[in-house]
Amino acid sequence: MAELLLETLFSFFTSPANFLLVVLGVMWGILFGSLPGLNTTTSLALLVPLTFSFDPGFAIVFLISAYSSGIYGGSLSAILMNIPGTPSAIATTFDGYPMASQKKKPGIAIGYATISSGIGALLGCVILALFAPILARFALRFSNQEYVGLALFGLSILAYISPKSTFKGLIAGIIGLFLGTIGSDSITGLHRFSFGIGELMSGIHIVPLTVGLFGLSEVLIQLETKERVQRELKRITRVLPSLSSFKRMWKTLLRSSIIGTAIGAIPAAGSSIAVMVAYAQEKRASSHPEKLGTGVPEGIVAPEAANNSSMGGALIPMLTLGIPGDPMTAVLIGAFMIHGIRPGPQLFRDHLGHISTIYVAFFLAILVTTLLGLLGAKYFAKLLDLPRFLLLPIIVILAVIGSFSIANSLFDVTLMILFGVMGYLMRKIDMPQAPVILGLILGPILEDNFRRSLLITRGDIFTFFKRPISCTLIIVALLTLLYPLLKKEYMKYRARRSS
Amino acid sequence: MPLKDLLTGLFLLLASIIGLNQVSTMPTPSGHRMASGMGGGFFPGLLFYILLVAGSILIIKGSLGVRKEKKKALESLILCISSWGTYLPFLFILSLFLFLRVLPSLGFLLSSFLFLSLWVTWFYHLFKEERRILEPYLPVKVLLFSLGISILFFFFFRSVAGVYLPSGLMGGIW
Repeated sequence: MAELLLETLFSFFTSPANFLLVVLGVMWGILFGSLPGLNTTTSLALLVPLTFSFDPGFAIVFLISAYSSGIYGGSLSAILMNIPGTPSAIATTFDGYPMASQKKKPGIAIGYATISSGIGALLGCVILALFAPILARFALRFSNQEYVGLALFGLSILAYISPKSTFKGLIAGIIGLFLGTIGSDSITGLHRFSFGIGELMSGIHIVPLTVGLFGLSEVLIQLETKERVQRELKRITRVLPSLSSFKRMWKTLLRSSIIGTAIGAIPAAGSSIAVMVAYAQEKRASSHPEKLGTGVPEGIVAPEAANNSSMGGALIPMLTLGIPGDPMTAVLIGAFMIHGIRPGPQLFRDHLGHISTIYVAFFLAILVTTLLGLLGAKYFAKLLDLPRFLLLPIIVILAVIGSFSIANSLFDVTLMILFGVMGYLMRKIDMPQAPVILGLILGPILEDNFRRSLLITRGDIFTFFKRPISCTLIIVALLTLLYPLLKKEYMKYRARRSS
Repeated sequence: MPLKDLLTGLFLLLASIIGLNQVSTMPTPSGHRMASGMGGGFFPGLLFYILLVAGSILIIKGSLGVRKEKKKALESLILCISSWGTYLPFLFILSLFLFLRVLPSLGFLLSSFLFLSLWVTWFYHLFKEERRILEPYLPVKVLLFSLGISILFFFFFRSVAGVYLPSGLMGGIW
């Protein structure tokens, strides 16, 4: 594996196209991550169509680069405007903005964020490279029954993806599962819910769904918010903080990176939880906790190292088990599948070249992000002020082209618009969109493996409980699903007892 | 009223449990029923029944719940509907469908140029506080921007991404 990694790394330096794609992908990710309202998920959804004609290797490079830099982009608007560009940059506003506004050091704040993001992401990348093959080797023993357990476990995450209402998250997931049943049945070949429409016979494609749900719905929401949030951009001068200040914070960096990777690897936990845990831990471990929140470097370093290291963690279940842990990896899985790359243990056995490309692209993208972040902070800051009257029409045109280019069909564009309206309505009632994508990806895996298992065992429904791994996964899925409910009841019980 | 809800919920729950049994199993010649998970109708049926069960549980829970909560839910629903800035998103969707109508006949380049100009002008007047970048507003600037973006996308997608966008009237030229 080490040889292959070195070979791939060398090929990146000999092929300018690969390197150019890393730089472009990173710039795309930072731009979308930093613009408030837009996020990494939208950026990936809009990026997928651009990669259609690419060789799978190039597509991986482009997508992974945009993925790896998106979270960092969110810190720029958090520091300069007090608006987190991505949800995971929320803790960066606590100290990043005070350092930029009260202490008049916006450049230094960006410097701390950039370097800690780079170190955190690199640590996440190393942990990914070390642990993913072990987990994949274990998962290679899985058969149909285990995949049913795994898909159920993946679906149980729906309960956590919806921050405001578990029930709404579950309903959104069921909508996704239902969308996954449209088209030809993979076992009998019969058409389901296609209503005689030829384009629906091959099923709902993930691109119109993601572009509509995330891209177009964002445009529609922005149309309603006419008032602009007061933005006061700070002037950036010096960016590099002193080396000695970083030396003092090595413990913070290491602790937050480990927290970020570990939490990122838990499906559904995600970077938003990782930053809050890392920030809380920093406050607990700090010798001057009262200063956190007033613009101290530790308050920037801890969340930035945590949210960027969580990306490497999130790639572990995605690559080894094919389970997307958050909306970003859900879109990434869909994008990989378009290029014929199905994440899962087989990827490590049959397509080691792709795995090596992912690792190397991820590693290089982290380095390029750090370098671009330090050198180009001034210019990225200017892009934050891009007016919506120019940005939104461009997003719409990109969404149209993206949906059209799947099959050169306007039907997919119509679908994208319908999903856009659906996404808009979902956002109006606080229903998360990500479970729909999760349902669409996991639904066919669940159904196909469930039916195959029953076919093989002649209808023995208990086959899922006779195999230890599938039985364990199903139990864990049930516990995961019921945990919020049980917790709520327990809290009620405790409140009753204490009163 | 709660009694009516309770009965409806119980009926739905009962119907869905019996129905689930019907969907998930099929009769065999020996008279027994066996799991019909092999059939293509099982999974969609299951999803439908999950929704039915969830719906009936919600109705039962609602009928047993406190009236104050119902009032709160109703208030939040009204607030949600009335806060829908209403016509703007829907007007935009209509314009997008119009774009789709003209796209095949005019081609991507011409129709995207027209609609980009329309949308940029519309949004420019909508987002008043963000105008400074085009100040002083000149229709020529908008037209040039729209033309530039359309040409850029057309050539990028055609030559780099290999996507053949509808060529329409401009087909002969491009």
